[in-house]
Amino acid sequence: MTGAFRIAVEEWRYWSRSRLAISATVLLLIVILAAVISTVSRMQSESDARRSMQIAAEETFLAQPDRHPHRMVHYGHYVFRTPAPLAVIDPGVDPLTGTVMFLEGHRHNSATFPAAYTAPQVAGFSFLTPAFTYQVLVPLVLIVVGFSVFARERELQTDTQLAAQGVGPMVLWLGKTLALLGLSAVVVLPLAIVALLATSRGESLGTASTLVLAYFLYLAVWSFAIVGFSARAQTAAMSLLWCCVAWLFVTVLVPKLASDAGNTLSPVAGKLQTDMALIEEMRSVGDGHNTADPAFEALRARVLDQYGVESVEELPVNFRGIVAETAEANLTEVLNRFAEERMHNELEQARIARNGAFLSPMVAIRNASMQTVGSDLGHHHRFLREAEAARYEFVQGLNRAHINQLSYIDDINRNNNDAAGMRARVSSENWRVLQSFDFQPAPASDRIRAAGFAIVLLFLWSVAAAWFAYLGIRNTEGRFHAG
Amino acid sequence: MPGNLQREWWFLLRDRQAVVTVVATLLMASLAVSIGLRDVSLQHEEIAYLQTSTLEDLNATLTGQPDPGSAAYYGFRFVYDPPSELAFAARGVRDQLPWKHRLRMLALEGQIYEHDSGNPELAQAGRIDFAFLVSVLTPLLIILMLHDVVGHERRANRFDLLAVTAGNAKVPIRWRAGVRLMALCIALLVPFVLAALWSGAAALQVTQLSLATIVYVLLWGAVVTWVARRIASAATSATVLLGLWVALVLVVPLSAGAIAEQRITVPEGGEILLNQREVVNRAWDLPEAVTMEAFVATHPEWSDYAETGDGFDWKWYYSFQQVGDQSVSELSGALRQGVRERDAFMSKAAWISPPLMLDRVFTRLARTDIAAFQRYESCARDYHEYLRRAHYPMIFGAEPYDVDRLLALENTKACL
Repeated sequence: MTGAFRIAVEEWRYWSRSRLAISATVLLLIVILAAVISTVSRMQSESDARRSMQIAAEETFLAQPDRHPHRMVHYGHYVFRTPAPLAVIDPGVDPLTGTVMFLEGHRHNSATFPAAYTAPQVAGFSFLTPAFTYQVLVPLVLIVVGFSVFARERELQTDTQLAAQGVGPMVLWLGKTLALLGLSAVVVLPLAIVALLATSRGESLGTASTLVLAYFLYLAVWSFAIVGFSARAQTAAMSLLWCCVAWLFVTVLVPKLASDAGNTLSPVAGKLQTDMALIEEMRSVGDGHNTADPAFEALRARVLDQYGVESVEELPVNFRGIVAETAEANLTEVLNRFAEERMHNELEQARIARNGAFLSPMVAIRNASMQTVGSDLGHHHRFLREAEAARYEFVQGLNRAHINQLSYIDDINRNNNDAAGMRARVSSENWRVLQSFDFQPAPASDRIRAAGFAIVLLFLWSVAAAWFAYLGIRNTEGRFHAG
Repeated sequence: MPGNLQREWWFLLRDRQAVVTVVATLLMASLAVSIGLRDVSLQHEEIAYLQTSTLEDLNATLTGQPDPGSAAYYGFRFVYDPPSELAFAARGVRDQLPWKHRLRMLALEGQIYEHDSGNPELAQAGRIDFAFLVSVLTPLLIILMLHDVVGHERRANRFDLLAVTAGNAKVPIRWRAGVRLMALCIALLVPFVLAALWSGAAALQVTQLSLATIVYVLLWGAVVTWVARRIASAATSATVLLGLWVALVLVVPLSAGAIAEQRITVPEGGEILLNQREVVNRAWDLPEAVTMEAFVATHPEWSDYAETGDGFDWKWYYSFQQVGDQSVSELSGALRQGVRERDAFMSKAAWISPPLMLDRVFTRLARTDIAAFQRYESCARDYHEYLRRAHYPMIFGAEPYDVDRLLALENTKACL
């Protein structure tokens, strides 16, 4: 072990003298800092802005004057998706999905105003985030610093000297790997600090450390692989070439082709398109604004029977409210069925793309990262479901006020004149059916469990890469011992 | 000179690494354009479906509406931006920004930001298209092919001999690099041009993009050989070139984007929505005359018809929808202006990043850039205005309600 440690220290000493290694590392640290600072400031100001708009939206809703309850159903409400605390590291799908959603009766609106809506058009790669930096750029720097760890010794024929001194392949492997792992650990530090800071914004220590661990595992895969390529290549130049091809394949081609595969193998119809089928089906549910709609014949008979009266005017409750409530319930069932189907299909697409993790550790860390942070597709769906639950709750709350607090006679005469309009109102006390909305990612344990598979894959990748490196070293360096 | 050409082609064919690179390029280009073509044809299918289903739905909904107000309330129209003949080559912002809407006569600001986007997790990884292949990946391939073009000959002790034979040290290297770049261009452009012909793109634009690609490849080729001549070690020259690539492909565009977002602020989208809703809904609690006055101020032609009756009146309803739009027009104008300014900033940044520049050329000609999106959005706004102007005479009672005339309107609209 001391031998390996000495080799690692020597490697560091060599790097510290290499202008190339120093400038690459310094440049990288600058890029990491820029990414961290810009993403942290962007995500925190986004998060604060959305939280304050959420509060403003709730206050204005509660401050509305006495009105007809159905007016409030269409006045509606806005919910904002606040990003998870760790999203400062990996905003995930946040910039691409809507951040605000209008909730009203009888409709599922889409979430609007993703950051991409106003984002400048940058070619190729879209957002400079810490996640992107660590997934794509850091491996490149590890390559630049480490491609020659073995090839150099071979070109200078110092490897034979080491062998002559009795340094075995195992020790050499360990030493060179330790050198790169040490560098990875240093590079991961800024990430660890940001993750730690996120705990002060309500993130659990468990997820924060899982995230840091996952990134370290990913960089370990690269460290092992670079040592492997360097040991197997005949020259330093060949080692660099192989590392670059691997980098291109792992961080650029596979992730993008995986998402193309998802799109191609499992196409999902656009929302406008599924909306057309939805409209078709909603016709059969009946228009809740119109009590004369034939869809409500049975309901009318049942309610009249239940109260033992002859006509809706004699009911102690407002029949128009009952129709609105029933129609909303039936309609929501249809809306949710379509929404669930869409989410299911989207998840299916994402699952295909996530399988790219078997071909590329970058896809594995991408999945692990977004799932741990709570910025993956699943969390966007979580937001959509919670928003829908909030919508249904306040709409039905208003409909209950419509049933119980507004007389049917006042209601049907509301358009006769202004005075009748004034009578057809309920107290603004009823607006309190609105619950405050605060989007939170899934509990830490759920997120870690969801990321578990990707993290296990990362672990397997690192074992495979380590094995690849060890075999490479044994085959090339071992010959001195065999002889 | 033909002797040089023939000889270099022969050398290229015997260099396994170069052959693999060229063949891989050909495969990637074919894959990129075929995925693009398939995508475009899916978009056309979707548009066709939405066109017919919108018309069917409109026919079914409008017949049976008792008055022009309800007809306007329930009648959805379809407006869209069809993909251009070159959209297969450059996806641009079409994956992220809306290019189709179903609109009705309610306040536009509540509808125009709805977006029918694809799967965000897939969009986040990004997808491969021809523009990406050329602007981002091709420089890497050129670096792999040419970073050692001089050093290789030097180490084989052939360089001086070659230089003396040719009478100039640069000539043989130029030939070698030139032939390899030519092979790369052919591998890129053959699939692209075939796909462009297939999709019926204009010859001028195809030529422009092909020339842009060739110039770009030559530019990178020149830079790579320049560096290769000065740095003897293959590993060092490759590292330097990789650094340059990272700077031009990643650091410059992404930092420019981050700077543009910091420096040019845009209104929060949420503000627009909240404000618009307040104005629209406050109208219910105000005397109708207040709304009608605000409406007539911008639509004086309806001043003679602006009297509302007792109780609910559709003309008042649509007036406050219009007034709601007017109340946020400044904010939403500032939003669009901000996006334009950010784009202008990026077009300046493109001068120091050729990959960004090339991508902008591709997306501009493919009509998938920010400018095309804004053109579409303003066309959709005009279309909504057209619908309003077509409905107002009936809603305000200047003309009789006639469903057939509403059905004869331009009910689906392609924005080109």
